[in-house]
Amino acid sequence: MSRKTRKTSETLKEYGRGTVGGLLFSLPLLYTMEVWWTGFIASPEKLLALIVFTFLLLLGYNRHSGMREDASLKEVFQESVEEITLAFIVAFLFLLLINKIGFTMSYREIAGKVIVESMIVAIGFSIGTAQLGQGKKETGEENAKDDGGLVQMIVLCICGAVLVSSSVAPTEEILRIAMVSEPSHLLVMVLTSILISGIVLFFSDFRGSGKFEGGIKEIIFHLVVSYLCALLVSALVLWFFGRISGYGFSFVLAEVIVLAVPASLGASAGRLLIT
Amino acid sequence: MENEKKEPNVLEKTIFVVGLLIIVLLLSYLSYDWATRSDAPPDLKISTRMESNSSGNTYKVETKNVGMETAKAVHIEFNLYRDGSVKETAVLDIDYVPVQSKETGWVSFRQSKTMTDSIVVGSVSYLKP
Repeated sequence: MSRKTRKTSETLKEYGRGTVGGLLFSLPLLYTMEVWWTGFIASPEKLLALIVFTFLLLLGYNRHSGMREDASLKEVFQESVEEITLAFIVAFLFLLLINKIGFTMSYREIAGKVIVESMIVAIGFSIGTAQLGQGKKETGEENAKDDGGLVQMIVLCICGAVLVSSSVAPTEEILRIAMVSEPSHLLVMVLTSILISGIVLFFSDFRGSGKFEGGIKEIIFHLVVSYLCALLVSALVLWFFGRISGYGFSFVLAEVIVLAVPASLGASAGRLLIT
Repeated sequence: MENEKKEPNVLEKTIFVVGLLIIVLLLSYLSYDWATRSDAPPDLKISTRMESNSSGNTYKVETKNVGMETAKAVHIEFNLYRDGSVKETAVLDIDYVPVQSKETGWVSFRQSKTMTDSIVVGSVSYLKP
C-alpha cells in the first residue's frame, strides 16, 4: 500500500517552529562566554559523550512526546537526525552572526563551539516542533502519546532538567554559591528543591499534573524520581563544563545540590510543559 | 488530527542524509582527535611586528598555540631594549589561546621608536583551564 508524501510546506513549517524553539531555549547559552570557552576547552571524549547523550535524549523525547504520532523507531531515528542536523546549522549560523566563530579560527575551535551550543538547540528544536504548532492548541491536545510509564517520566524529567539547568551550569556562580554554602544551607536547598517539585506536580494545577491521582506512595515516587533526575543531570552537566575535576567529594556534592535547585524545577515544571 | 502516516519528502530525506554525513564526520574527527591526543602542554609561539601605520611605538603581537592543550590566563611580558639595556616593559594578558589557534593583540610603549632598537619577549605564564 503506497503512502502519501508529507508536503514540503508542512516540513518547512515544522523546521520553522523547531528553529524558534531551539533559539528560545538556547539563547542564554548562545550569549554565555563560559559556553564558548567550553567549546575549545572540552576534550574530544567529552564532546563525543555530549553528542551521544543528546542524541539519546532526542530519541527518547521523540519516542515519548514528539510531533509525529505512532512513529516507528526508524521514523523516530530519522526525526532525531534531522533535528540534530538543523541544530548544528542553526548554532553555526547564530555563532557566525554574533561573531563568536570565524574562518580564521581552527577547525577544532569552530567544531567545539558549534557542538556545545547545538546540543541544547537540538533539544529546543525537538520541543519547539512538537509543542509550538497550532495543531496542539486547536485540538487542546496534551500528552499526545500514550503514557510510557517510568521510562517516559525519566526521559521527560531529564529533558526538562537539562533545559533549565544548562543555562546556569556553566557560570561561575554555581561554584561561588557552593563555596559559601554551609551544610545547613545545602539541606534547605534539598528540601526546597523537593518542595518546588511537590508544588508543581501536586498542588498548583499545572498543565498535565492532574493525572497524578495516586496516594501518598505515588506522590513520594514522583518526587523521588524527579529529584534523582535533577541530581543526575546536575552532576553530568557540571562534569561536562569542567566544574568537578580537581575538587573534593563534599565540594562536588555541594555544587550538585546547588545546581539541582533549578534542575528540579526543570524536572517537574519543565517536564510538564514539554509533554 | 490526521493520523495517516506519511512518507518523508525530498527535503526531509536530504536533511537526513546530510545530517548522517555530518554526524559521522564529526564523530570520526573527534574519535581521531581523542586517539591521537597526547598530554603535551600548551606551546605558545609569540611573534611581534612593528606597526608602521601607528604614530606611537606600537607592536602587533600574534600568539599561536601549537601545543595540545588550551592555555588560560596567558600573561606575556615584553621588554623594549636599547644598546643592551631594558628601557621599558609592557604586558599583554589574554583570556584563552585555544589549541591550534592564534590570538592577536597590540602593545604600545611610551619610548619613541628612534630611542629603542629591539623588542624581546620576557616571561610567559598561563594556566591549565
